[in-house]
Amino acid sequence: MRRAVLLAATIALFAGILAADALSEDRLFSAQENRLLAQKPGLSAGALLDGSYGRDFEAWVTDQFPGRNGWIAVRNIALRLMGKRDENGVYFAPGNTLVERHEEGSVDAEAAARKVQALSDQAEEIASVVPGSVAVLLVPSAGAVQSWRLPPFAPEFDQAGWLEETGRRLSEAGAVFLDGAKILTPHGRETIYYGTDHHWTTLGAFYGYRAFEEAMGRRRPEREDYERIPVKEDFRGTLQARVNLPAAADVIERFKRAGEGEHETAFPGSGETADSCYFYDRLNTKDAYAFFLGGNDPLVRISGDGPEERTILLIRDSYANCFAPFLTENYGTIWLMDPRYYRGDAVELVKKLAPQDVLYLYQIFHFLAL
Amino acid sequence: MVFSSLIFLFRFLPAFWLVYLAVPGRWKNPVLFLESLFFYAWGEPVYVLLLLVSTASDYCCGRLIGRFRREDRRGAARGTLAVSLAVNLGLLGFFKYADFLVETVNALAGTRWGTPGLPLPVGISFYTFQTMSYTIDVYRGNVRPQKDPVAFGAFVTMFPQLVAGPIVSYRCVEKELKERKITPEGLGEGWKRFVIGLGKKTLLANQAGALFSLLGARKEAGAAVLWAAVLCFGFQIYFDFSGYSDMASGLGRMMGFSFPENFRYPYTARSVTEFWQRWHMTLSGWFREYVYIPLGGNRKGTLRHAFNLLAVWILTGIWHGAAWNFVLWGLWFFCLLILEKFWLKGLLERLPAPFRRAWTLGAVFSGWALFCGPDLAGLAARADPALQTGARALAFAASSLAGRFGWGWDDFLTYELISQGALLAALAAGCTPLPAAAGRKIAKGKGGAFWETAFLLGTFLLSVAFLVEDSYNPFLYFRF
Repeated sequence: MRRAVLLAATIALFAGILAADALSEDRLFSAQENRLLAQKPGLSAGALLDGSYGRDFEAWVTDQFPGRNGWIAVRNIALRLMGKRDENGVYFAPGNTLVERHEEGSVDAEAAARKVQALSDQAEEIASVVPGSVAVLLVPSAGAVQSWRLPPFAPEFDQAGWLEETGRRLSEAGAVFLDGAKILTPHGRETIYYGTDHHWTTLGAFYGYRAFEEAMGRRRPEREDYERIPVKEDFRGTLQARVNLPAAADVIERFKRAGEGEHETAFPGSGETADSCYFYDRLNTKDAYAFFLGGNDPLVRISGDGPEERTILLIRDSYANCFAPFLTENYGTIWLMDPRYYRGDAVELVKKLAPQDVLYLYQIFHFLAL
Repeated sequence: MVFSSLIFLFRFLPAFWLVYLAVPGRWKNPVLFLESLFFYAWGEPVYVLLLLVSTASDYCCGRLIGRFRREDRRGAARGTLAVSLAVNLGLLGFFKYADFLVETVNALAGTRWGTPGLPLPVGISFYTFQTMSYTIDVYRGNVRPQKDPVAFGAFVTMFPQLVAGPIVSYRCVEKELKERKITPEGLGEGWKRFVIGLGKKTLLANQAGALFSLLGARKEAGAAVLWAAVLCFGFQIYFDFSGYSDMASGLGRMMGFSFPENFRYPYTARSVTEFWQRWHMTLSGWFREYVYIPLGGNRKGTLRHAFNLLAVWILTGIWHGAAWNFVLWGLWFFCLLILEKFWLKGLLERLPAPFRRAWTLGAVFSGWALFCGPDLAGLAARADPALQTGARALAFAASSLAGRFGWGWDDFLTYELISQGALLAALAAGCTPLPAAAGRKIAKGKGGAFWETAFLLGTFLLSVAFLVEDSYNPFLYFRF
């Protein structure tokens, strides 16, 4: 019979999958997807009648399907082979790397203008309180700076144009504006962004730091000032998790000045203190970028090597994690506040900490999502 | 429950077959009946009662009509048929059309009646039509009333075709309800058909649907985006619905049923008339048999003929959904068919096939613009904020045809066309008989059995991979 093989193979396949399903323990959490997985629902008359039991049961079966990540990889490989150039908000880029997708239609111009207005109002208010400068550094995502990595015709949001306009408005408000696109574009061929993660690399952060130092009127730091120490050579970050396909591994680097020691890092929220702003134990976790400052914390204080009275507050997102260590060169104390987690008011915090300078540091889309 | 879900494939289906194969012949109908009720109740734990009411009512009506016919009491038979039709149309009318009627009356008369706002019971349009065909056929003497309530219940609730067709009339399966055989041949061919249907649904329809949503969400809208979206919708609805019919037929075949064909490459039709002989054939067959011909068909003069067509097409339109755009969609085809019947027929027959196909596809896809109009209303409003009222998308479609908007081709479309070009090519090829013909040729050649088996297993595995990824993938035809 001509379909005997098909039927036998099908039955074997079903038996295999069902056995694997029965034998595997339910997982609570998917590190890959960064979310809790559905669990076996409780049975009740109410849930049965309103249909929610059926839905929850289905979510449970789907989430706990044996080899879930493998199946998803198979699907994405198939789409990739068919020539699809993006998946789940991520472009496939040359050299088996990935780039965040920010489609031109994805930015609401009015909402963005309101965000800029709020930032400009706050910066103006803070400028009247601090003795030094208020600076704003907005960093584009990789696609805007490294357009050579994008597929042809990729309909990307014009981040450089938006930064230019935003820069004009913030400068009018008296802030020192640092245009991330202008700073990074000359280095577009260097590894200034990770190929598997949405952050900039330590090298990218270095160029940001150099621009900041120049704007503050201090000595221009050079790359040769630093020893570049690779601390992890098989880093695979958030973008890789989003497409769930093999991608070329990234290297996480630590930049070390000649004679630089470790910097005491404190987390006032939890009262904890660490001897260094680098957390080597995080390198072997899923979130290896947490090597810098241990991850995102509402408020962090780093002790630097600069004069005691020279202090700075960063109002920032995770792009500042690998940036902040550079500041230890010239500042005595570096405060970092993440408005996504910090509950209090930024202006009140400035009054309380009385820093000399304030720097806003965000990736554009993190800023727009605030 | 839908076929293209892990819970159906890896819970319901294995459990169903284990029990169904284990029980002896006379227990197969009861098992089919009970498992079908479970299948339905899984998603509709309350509305399963409606299904039972409809089943019980038509079982009783069928037997009564049979008795009255034997006793030659025409009037009583006719009255009982009327009861059966009233129950079915009443259920359908209340649960599907009440909101629509109330809203229409409110709009016309300025009243403010509240709408019941009930969710539509899954598959109600399909099973009420099936059971009506049964009582009408009993009344006409085409079939004998089914005495076994379990066999009748199995016919109405049979899970393969319960929620999205094909509309299987009782006549088709009368014999198979009593005796059918599970054969290795039937199992193999049926499973093949099911896998192909599953692939059409998960690998083609869902991807076309994703592209449709992507296009529909565009902020910069022009005529190009609208028509690209309509094209994707036309692909999606075809592969979705014909995929479902394939899966239904396949499952039926495995059990020993032979369901009627529902689609025969409709997008290759060379006239709109022919399109409807190839698209959702069980529905058009139903309307022909139970509405068009009883009204007199084409035998009572031109005017009456046109009226009969009008009635059928308004009903066909509104069967697809309780909204005006579906009525318009039906009327669109009414106009096209009248046009073809009375004027274009001779001209079309003289034209070369490519022109005839272009005419047909143009007409059919313009129809899809009406059909999916509400889904594109946002797009239309963004293209022209002045289009604030009513059938925005309709106005948009019409005026973009007339060149009122810019064509609006941009990088986004170029990008997606390249990125999804292979998918679009696969969709287009899948609408023709070419892939099936190539498959048959390969299957007959050297090592054919191997390649065929590998293809089917690959399709199945890939479909599962897509299902694991898709958390959300309802059938389009579920809510009709």
